[in-house]
Amino acid sequence: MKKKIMVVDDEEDLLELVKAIFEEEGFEVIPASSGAECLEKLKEVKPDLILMDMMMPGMSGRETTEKIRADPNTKDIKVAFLTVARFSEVGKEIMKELNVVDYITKPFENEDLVRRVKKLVGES
Amino acid sequence: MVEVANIKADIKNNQILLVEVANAKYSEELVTLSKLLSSLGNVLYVSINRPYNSLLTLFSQHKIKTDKFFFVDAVTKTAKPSKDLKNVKFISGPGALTELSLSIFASVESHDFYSMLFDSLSTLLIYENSLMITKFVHNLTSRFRTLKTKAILVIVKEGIGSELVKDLSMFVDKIIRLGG
Repeated sequence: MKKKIMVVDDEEDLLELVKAIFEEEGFEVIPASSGAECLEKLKEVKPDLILMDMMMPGMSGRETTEKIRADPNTKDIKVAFLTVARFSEVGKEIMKELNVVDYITKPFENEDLVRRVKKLVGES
Repeated sequence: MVEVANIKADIKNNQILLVEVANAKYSEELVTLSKLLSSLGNVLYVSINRPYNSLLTLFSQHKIKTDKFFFVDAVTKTAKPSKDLKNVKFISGPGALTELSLSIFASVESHDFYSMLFDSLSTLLIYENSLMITKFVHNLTSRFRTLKTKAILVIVKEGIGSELVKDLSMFVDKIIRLGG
């Protein structure tokens, strides 16, 4: 069965790029262009991993992740941040509290992104 | 109530601080912070909140010497500053974030500042949305870490949503809550 990853980012180009990269690797990719759309789609699908942008209009990646963790139906889904942000030690503590499994900085190398995602979903 | 000595230690031990101030004690706490920072070294005071002249009056009332301060004033909206004013740079308005960033970075690079006091992110929220402020703070804090200058970012407790504070806290080293 194909592994599912959800990519949450307000940048359409990035969504398309990540979708293309992972579809070629045999993943099913569910794009969402906002935190609200991510939460809505999680009512229907349970991905193996969510790649979440931190800085989005409306609900931020942090707030969206907080809501995912607060919902018994989604609380165990793996979330990794895919972000331009460089976090402080306080920020890293917050990510730990939110059980964020990794953070990948943009811009990324395609091969590195694929390698890390495969490891996170147990495909490496 | 956080003691002045504790704030001083926090400033010395951290690079980027978010300082939450109660609205009722806003001026009082700004005076305390200004005194404290100027006792440690030169200060870049970025004002989104009150004009340069008003700050000078406030400082004079509290016997704070301004020789350790350089001001970036986004409130006065003076395009042509007087030649007599050597310790201030006026920018066109609080909503001009690119101009504001450039002025801050140019000032830091051309002076020897121990710290920057940003007064305040809450006022900036009148002009920009949360996402723009988060991006602005991320950009600012990343640059200040490289420049090795301390940044003290002030927010008013009642003037900013808790979700934005949580987002901003991802980039700072410590949050200090003043004024109860």
